[in-house]
Order: sequence, then C-alpha cells, then structure tokens
Amino acid sequence: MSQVFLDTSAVIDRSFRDANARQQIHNLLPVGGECISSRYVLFELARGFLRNLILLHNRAVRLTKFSDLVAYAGHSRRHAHRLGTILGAFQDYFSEGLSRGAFAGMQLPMDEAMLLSFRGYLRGAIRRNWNKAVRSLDLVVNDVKCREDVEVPCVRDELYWQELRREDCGSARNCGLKSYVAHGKADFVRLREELRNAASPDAETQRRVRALRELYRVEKRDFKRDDCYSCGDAIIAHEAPGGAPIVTKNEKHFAAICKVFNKTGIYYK
Amino acid sequence: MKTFADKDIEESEELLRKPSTWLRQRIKEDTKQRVTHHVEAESEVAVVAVVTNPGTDTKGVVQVARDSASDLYGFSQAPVIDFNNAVCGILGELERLRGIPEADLEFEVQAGYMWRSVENLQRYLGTSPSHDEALSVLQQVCFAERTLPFDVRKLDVLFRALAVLRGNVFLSEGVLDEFANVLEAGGFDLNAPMAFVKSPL
Repeated sequence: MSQVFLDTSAVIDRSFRDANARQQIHNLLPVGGECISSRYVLFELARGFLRNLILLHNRAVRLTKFSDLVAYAGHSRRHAHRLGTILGAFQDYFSEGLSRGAFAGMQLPMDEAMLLSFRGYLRGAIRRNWNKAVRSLDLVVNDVKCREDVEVPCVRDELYWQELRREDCGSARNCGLKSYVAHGKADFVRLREELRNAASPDAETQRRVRALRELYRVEKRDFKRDDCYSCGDAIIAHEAPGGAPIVTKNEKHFAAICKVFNKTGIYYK
Repeated sequence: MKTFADKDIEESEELLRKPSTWLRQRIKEDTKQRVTHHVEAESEVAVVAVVTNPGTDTKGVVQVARDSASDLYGFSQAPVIDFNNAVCGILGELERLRGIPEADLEFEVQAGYMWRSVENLQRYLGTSPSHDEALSVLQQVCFAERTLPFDVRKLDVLFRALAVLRGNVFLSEGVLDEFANVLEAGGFDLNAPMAFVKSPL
C-alpha cells in the first residue's frame, strides 16, 4: 500500500484549515494510500502553531475587546507574524459577517461580540483539531524517540493547558535525537556541507548549518533544544520512511534537504 | 464642516447607542432603583439620553436601553434556558421546512428565515464559554452556507446537530464534540474563517 508522509505544514493544513485547503491536501494523497507522520512533527505542531492558538485563547479570556487582542498581537515580539495572520483572517471573517447583517440581533458592542466569538472558535478548534491531527494519521513513526506523551489540550479554570515539558528537550537521557543523528551522521554531515555551500542561505538555513554540527558532534552530551528546533525540517525529512514521499508546503527548505537524503517531496502552495 | 463639538457629540451618541457591557449593567441598576414604584409585570422601560450641543443649543435624543420588567428585576428565565428554547424554535422551523417540497421556491424562502433565526442566536454570546463555542460553530455554518442553496440533506444534518443541543442545557465538551461531529460529517466546514488566511501558518 502506498504511503505519504505529512510534514508539519501539511498536518496543520489538513486539520486546522478550511475545506478548500483540506481538499488541496486530499488531492495530493494516493487513493487508498496511507497518511503517515512522526512524533517529531506532532511535537513541532504542539510547540509551534497550536501554542499560538492556546496563547490567543488564553489572552482572549483576559480581555473584553477583539481590538485589544489585535493590539496585543501587534506588540508581541514572538511569532507576531503568525498571530497577526490568524487575527487578520478573523477580522476579515467578521467584516464579512457584519456586511451581510449576520450580527443584527446582537445586543453587545461588536468589538466584545467578536472577541467572544473568536474565543468560542478557538475553544473548540484547539481541542477538536488537535485530536483530528493525531487520530487521522494511519501511522506515527518515532525513530527519533521524540515525545510519546504530549497531552491532549484541556480547559481548566477557563484557560487552555497543554503541558509540553520543554525542559526535557535537549537532555540526551530523555530524548533519542542525539543517538538518531549519530546513527545517520554521514547523511547529516553531507547535508551540512551542501547547505553551507548554498549560494545565499537565508537565516533559517544558517541556523540549521550551525545547529547540525552541534547535534552530531558528541553523541552522549546534552544539547540546546533550539539546536533541535533549528534542524526540524532536516530531522523530519530524514525520519520519513524511504518509500513515502514527503508532502509539504515548505518547498524552499525541503527541496535541498530531500535532494541530499534522496527523498521525494510533494510540494503545494 | 464638522466642528470638534459635532465630532464629540457623534462619538457620545455612538457610545450611548451601543453601551459596553459594564455601562449597560450600570444603567440597568440605576434604572431599577429609579422606576421601582412605577413598573408592572408587562411594563417596558426605555432609557433615553438627551445630548445637547452647547454651541448651538440644539438637542438630540438617543435611546440607550429598553428593558422589560422581567429583564430589570430578574424574573426572566436563565439565558441557558432561553437559548435552549430558541434552539427548539429553530428545530420547529426545520420541521416545518420538511413539509415543503425541495423543488418548491418556498423551501428556499423559508430556509432564509430559518438561517436568520440561526444567526439571531448570536445574541446569546457571553452566556457561557461553552455557549460561545457552540455559537461560533453556528456562525461558521451560516458563513459557509451563505452562497449555497439549502437542501433536504443539509436540513437533516442541521436538525440532528441542533437536536444534540436541545436536550442539554449545560453544554459539556462531549455534547459540543458530538454537535460539531454531526455537522462536520454532514459536510459543513467548521474551520471556515481560516479561508481568510493570507500567508502560510
């Protein structure tokens, strides 16, 4: 049976996006084939995109106006672009609703109603879409021995909680990444050389070049979790089983990595 | 040309027309105390503000609030019960729609009224976080369906989904998941606002 491997961007689009985006992914999948991914991808989803949603939900609980949430995102130094993208989408969505009178019966000022509605959306989307992301995969590989125990996000005292225990990241005792990279050292050395020689590497690639060396240098030593996070695309591509093409939106970075690892990429916009 | 006073007046009038939750509550409390001796069960109390332009001495009147006696004195039903009754009302509308042949123009006309009733549920925003979640789902369904004709299959799905809410006054996560699952399995898009995302996530 044919398999495809979904990277983080594909898992997000397949579980958290609108029907058209989901259909786009669906069209790339082989009929009757299996969708697989990795624990590493799920953890990257949890500590990245999902964490942004949890941040927005929990901040929205403390505010009374949608415009205050937009202002907060504007001041944020971390992931301001992603927060802005999500909030911008909802601003357009609410504007559309206003223009066709969908909120005509509302007794609240629009700014307050928008915040309640947005919070309501996130409250359901975080729980349901996370479950969907995990359960819709036919197989989750974990050669890296990344987290098996990422908990399901849940609401306590109105706030969303999902313990990630990032303090365990980087510990050679708790994480199998160092041994995994040591095992495939030749591949990662080759990749590093290739990326180093790239014509004009972007900031992410430069970080990756630095971090790769740290990961394969001394097998049993603890490492900085940021080195792991900087090598995300490389680890994901390497761990994807040989016969399973990698579905990703991130052609910019995956194309070079797949070439070195002799993997096939399926790219979409 | 507008003067600063004109702009101030416009802003004040806008604030008075749509007071914040806090201001509305204050006005309600104040009204309660002032009209206690004049109110009967069927009374409706309107609160108006007279806005005067000191420069021209012109006056404008803005309605700030309109409450029934039951709204003011708390013998109205809890909003969760009101919400449940409104859901039952929509189920009734769907039931009546079932009696009209799908090919009949009237089916679509009546469906339009039913969608407006679904949209009007938004007035229960703020009832509880669980209700906000359910209302957000329904808002998305209205959005996703705005350009599409209604049909019997969708009617069945919407009926089954609202029936899940009907029997459950306090909406637990399990109830909300079942409600969403019925809609999603029936082809309604519950991540519709994400269609507005303009750059990669």
